[in-house]
Amino acid sequence: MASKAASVAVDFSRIYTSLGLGKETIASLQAFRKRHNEAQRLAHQYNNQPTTVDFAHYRSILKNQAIIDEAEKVLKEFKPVTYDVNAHVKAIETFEAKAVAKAKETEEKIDVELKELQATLANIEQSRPFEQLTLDDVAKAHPRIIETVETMLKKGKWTVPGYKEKFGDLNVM
Amino acid sequence: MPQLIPFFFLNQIVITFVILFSVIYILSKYVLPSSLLTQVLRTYITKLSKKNV
Repeated sequence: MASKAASVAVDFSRIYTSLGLGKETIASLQAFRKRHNEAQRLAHQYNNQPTTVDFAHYRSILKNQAIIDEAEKVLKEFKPVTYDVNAHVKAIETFEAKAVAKAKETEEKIDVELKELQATLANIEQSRPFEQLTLDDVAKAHPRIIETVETMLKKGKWTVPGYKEKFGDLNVM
Repeated sequence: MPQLIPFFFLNQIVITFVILFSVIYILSKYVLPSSLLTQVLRTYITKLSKKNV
């Protein structure tokens, strides 16, 4: 009953549109829903079919009573085959556990992404115009530049090759 | 005592060397690296802005 209540409560159209799921996930979800609906329809159909046989009626219209006796005997002896659904339930449970774990993983991933995005947003909001940037700001944003400068200093290179040709210098002589 | 006259300049020599080495130290540790950083950054930023155009 609980599963039925849950299936009623689930708003699939909202899940498709608002959760931002992948195409594959939506397709499998739709397939699952279709399968569920089909199973429900079949169960309903079979539940409505009569399960008893009116042997008295057949006895009155058929001449061969032996065959009716035999049919009645067969029907009484018939026992529906019982299926062991535990294996299926187990498979479903493992699938559910996997799905939940995956969902949690996705949630964590999204959380991390969200934090990064918020950091980026804060960065954008707090950014200053280009004219107000200092050397330290740029160097902090690109630590590789500091590394380059340090290696150049270690190698005793105190100028950038091609700098003077490009930008000139303040030397009078 | 005229033989002591060179030693009268010892203070100047000491001061000169102290100033010389401190100037070299300050230049090599603070001034020139920052000017090198300026040059590298200027080159980098110019390259970036040219790439974006």
